Amino acid sequence: MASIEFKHVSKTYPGSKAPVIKDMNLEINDQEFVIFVGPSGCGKSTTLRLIAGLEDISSGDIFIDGVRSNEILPKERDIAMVFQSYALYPNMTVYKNIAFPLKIRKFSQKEIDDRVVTAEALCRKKKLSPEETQKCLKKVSRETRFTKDEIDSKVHAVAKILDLEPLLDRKPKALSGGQRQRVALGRAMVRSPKVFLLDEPLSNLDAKLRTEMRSQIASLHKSLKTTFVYVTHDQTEAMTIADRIVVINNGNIEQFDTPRNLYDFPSNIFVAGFIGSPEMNFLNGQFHIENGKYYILLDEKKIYLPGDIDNKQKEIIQPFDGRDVVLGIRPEAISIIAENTATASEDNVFTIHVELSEFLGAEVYLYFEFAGTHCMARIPSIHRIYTGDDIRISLVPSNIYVFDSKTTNTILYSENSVKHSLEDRSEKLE
Amino acid sequence: MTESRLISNPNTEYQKKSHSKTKRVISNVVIYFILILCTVVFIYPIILVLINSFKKKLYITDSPFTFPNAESFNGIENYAEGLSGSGFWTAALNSVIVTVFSVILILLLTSMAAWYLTRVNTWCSRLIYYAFVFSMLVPFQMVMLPLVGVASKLHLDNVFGVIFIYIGYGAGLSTFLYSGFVKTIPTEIEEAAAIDGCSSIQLFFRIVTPIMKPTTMTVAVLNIMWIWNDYLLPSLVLGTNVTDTTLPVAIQVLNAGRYGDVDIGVLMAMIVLAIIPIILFYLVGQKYIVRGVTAGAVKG
Repeated sequence: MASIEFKHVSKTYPGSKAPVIKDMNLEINDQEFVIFVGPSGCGKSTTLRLIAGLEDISSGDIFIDGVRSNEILPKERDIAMVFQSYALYPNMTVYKNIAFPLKIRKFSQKEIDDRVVTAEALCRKKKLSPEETQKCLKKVSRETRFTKDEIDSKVHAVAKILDLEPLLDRKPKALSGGQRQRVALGRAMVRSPKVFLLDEPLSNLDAKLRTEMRSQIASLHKSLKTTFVYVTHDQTEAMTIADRIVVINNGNIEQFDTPRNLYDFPSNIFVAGFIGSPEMNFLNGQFHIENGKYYILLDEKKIYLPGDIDNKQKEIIQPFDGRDVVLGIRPEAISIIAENTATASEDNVFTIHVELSEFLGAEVYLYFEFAGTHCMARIPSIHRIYTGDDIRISLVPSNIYVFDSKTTNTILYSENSVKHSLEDRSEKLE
Repeated sequence: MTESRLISNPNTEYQKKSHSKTKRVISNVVIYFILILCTVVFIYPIILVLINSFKKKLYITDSPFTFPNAESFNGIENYAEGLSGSGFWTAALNSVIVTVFSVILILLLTSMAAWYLTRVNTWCSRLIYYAFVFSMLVPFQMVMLPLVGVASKLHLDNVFGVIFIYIGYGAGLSTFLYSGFVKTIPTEIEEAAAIDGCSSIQLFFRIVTPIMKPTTMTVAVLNIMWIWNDYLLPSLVLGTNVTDTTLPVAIQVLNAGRYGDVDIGVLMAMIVLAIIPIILFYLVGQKYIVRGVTAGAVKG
């Protein structure tokens, strides 16, 4: 169990001018499940390798459990890592793979002292004679590695949790993808490390197995009560199992927040586009204030924003009057107005022509052009809408995001996001 | 296009199939004929040596290509005479020492070198690697005369000294084969071992070496065959004193003489004895040669 802290960490690979990680500052709490997501080549795996000590840091510091770990060797960091390819030792059986970290590792002096203390307590409990106690303690203090019996019991305990007991005598080549993945997890679990690092561990599994393993990893985190750092490009994985998610792009942290906050209050266009599937619709327009009403002009269409914006939000958004902004709306936030249904107001209600309708079972994807931009809506399949239909849609003001077109930062809801995020975090800590 | 042209005639199809089958049979016959011919050409000298090793001296020169009959058959007389000759067992021991120690050291040193050179990707490591590869291209005959001088100056002209020369000559191909295999080992396995607590030495011996086993077998088989059979290097460096040299040279020396003086039957018997261990070893290890040489050629 340990916290991890990045202080101004940068990483540039030899022979490359551009840094992969740029001045990263990050704090991962003890026992937290943090997931790094981002597009390919954004630096998420490199970040994980920096924590593991497999890559040298170009500048800055990494603290693991409060200890500066820049120069500490991987084997001395007390971490465990599960690789994308599982990296099982092909020449060893499942038993030997899981037992290997225990066999190879020598105890530190502190560990030996702790074992002596534990043994002393056990002797006292068993009411052994002083001579017997002395003999036992002498034996324990001489042990620099786990005994065969200790290894055996630990391996079987892990195998039982992961349902690997019938496979202990098999070699990795005789295992399926899911079984290999569980062996890799077992090898990581067996020595109870301070931090678990998982580099896209589910990416080689089929969809069904991935869902199963996802919940297994989440329950493992709960039972082990250890810090988990996980890398994936699959946002479903990230959204379902993470306490907090780090969204990385080009070596920069775009946002570090709870899954809920990332979805509801993205800090910029990148996060808004990356989190959520299908992707958010983005439309370029101009922001205007007219008679105390806020709206965005899109190709002569007025899209009204919520009227109940708080003062802080007003302070942020008012300077944008007359300036170019980007309007964002999620496909699932676009609602359909049934035929012959009267609406209280015709604000934000538009008629569109469906260019393509895709039926997916529970829902339907509608593709259409709106204000000169190709957009998409995700609606429940109860609405029977087909390609070529003309339908009325409503853009609910509270579901609209506004981004500064120059900086790409959110200019509406960004303050709320901070507030919400803090509330969410304090709830978690409680 | 008319409908009749679109539908294929079953008779024509059958004729086509039967024609292609005949063609395949003919090509197979030709291929097998060539292969059998090659086998005969390659095995013939060995068979000839084996046949003549059981014949009396005079009959070998008289009718070398015939099988031994009641008159010419000499039993195991030639073998007994060869083995009782002074120096055979010493030379055989020398061959075992040179082969075993050379191969062990070649395996140990080149596997380590190949692993390091492949994993540490700097201009210096690349330069060293290419030097190893280049050494394979230089024919022995080009360097053999200066080598004798160098070996003499460095006092390598003895059974233990020649081991170092063999390491040098075996290093090129062995490093090349090992490097090719190391490239196919995922670095994640080594990284996982480093995180699990392995030092570099432990990582090499506990993880990398067992994974490299197929290539180790290949390198071992190739080097054992080459070093055991080598005649030129020991004859130049170790000289022709039977007790100081290896088996191929000793066989030649023990049976040297003028035309008519040489007991060819004994010579043949000793050659058979010398090649038996290596043939047995080849039969056991030949599957590893193909496997090791092709390892890493195809992405798995």
